[in-house]
Amino acid sequence: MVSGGETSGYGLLTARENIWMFSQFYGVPSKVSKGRIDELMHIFGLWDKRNAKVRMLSTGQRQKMNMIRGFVTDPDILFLDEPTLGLDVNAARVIREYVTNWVRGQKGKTVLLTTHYMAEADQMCDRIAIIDKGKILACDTPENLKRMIRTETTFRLEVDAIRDLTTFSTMQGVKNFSHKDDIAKNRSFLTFILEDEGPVAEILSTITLQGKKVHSLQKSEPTLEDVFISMVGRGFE
Amino acid sequence: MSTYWRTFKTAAWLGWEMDSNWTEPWLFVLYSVIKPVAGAFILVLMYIVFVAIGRPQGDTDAFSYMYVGNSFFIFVATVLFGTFQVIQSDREWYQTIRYIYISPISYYVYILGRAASKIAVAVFAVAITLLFGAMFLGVRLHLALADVPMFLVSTVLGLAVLLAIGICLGGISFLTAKHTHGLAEGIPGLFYVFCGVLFPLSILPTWGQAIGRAIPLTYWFEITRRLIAPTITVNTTLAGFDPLTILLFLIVSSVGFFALSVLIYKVGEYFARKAGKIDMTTSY
Repeated sequence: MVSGGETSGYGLLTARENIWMFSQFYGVPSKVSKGRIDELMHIFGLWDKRNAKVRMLSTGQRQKMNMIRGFVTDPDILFLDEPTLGLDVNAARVIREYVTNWVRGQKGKTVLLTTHYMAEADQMCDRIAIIDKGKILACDTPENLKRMIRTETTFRLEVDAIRDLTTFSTMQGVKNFSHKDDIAKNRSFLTFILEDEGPVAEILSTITLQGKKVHSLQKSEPTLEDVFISMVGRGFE
Repeated sequence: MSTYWRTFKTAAWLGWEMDSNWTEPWLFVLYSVIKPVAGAFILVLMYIVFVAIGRPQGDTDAFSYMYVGNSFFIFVATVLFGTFQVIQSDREWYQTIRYIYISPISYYVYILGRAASKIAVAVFAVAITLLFGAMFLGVRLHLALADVPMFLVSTVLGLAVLLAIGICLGGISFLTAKHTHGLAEGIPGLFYVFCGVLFPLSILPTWGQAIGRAIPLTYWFEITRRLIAPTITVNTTLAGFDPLTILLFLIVSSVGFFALSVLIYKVGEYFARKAGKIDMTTSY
């Protein structure tokens, strides 16, 4: 198991020693373990830091070390809990690519990934379960999940910051909607899942009647986030 | 190689790295020598105060008694706290407990392995303290060759009891917040008073002597003094028992304490698992 956003690891040990120690708890022969560690350190771009004490590593480097810890035992099933949380773009990309190739390149390997990043789930997963408040609302391939709401229409709007959203939830034809505020720009970003395009005019007039300006309106193909909104009835908190 | 042995070995290695790897090797060796010697000077100061208050003429037997007791008390403080804090440090500080706990090992054996390095550090400290006392402070030490096996057996049993008590506290710490490390400092304090470390049990009131006799460490200190400092004539309440009988007391109480430690550890672990507290982090 590997969790993101943690400081796990013994700071007085080097990155290499830390990973080796965990491999011993899983019974990996020491020589095999050291070979795998070196290989994985090259892949994850941590080779230069192999002899650095863990306390000296950055968050991204530490997370890479944790990922190597997860893979060094060559597990059949690996649990990844938000593995790219708080990482820079490059480090996150390296991790996503490796995990995807590892699980697809070998038979009998399974990764159970929990993530709030829908794009990450879309890119990496063969099957996705949408869970809300401990209940599985849907479990299928990304394509099938998106197909479920393809009969619906997704609209994204960027408007002046809007406070009164109650009208939208009762509006006929609106299946679900979510909103995010950008306080710095004084803007609101609304995503509507509509049964058809009928309510668009009413949505626009509701906004303009509040004296707010519509900056952009976009009809888009459904994403996994739209699927989530459609099922859960809200965006990510 | 059995899983238990591999776990013990790796955990002992980890413990040793954590104890010794914080500085350069030469500085660590220097620290390991100076620390117990400095501790010996505290004993000298305590003795001077006792003498000034009670016996201006001095009492070399009394000094040897407290010196040997305090030297071996290093084991108590180091091993007990070292064992106790394995769970706390892995859970709160390093946040590694969930990864170690879910690995296919016995966590109980892992704790024993981590504690082994504490024992190694303590053995060195005790040896330095005794050596310093014998060479510079007039502590009369003499271990007869014939007594070596009994000394080794009693030392192993004494350490086993300490590990058992440490693991008991560890089992409790599964369920408690990190500031409860005071528990691992307070318990040795009780042993210091009731187990004949600094003064013999005969000084304590009857109820205090009863508490002391219920704790295996009392027998450990008694037999250790008899074996390595046989010239000490301080009256203890255990004078009527020969060394073999005291060793028997130690064996019986050690087995009892070890069984108790497994029980308390398992109960603590069970409730921690049930409440989802194995990897909790706390703050205060």
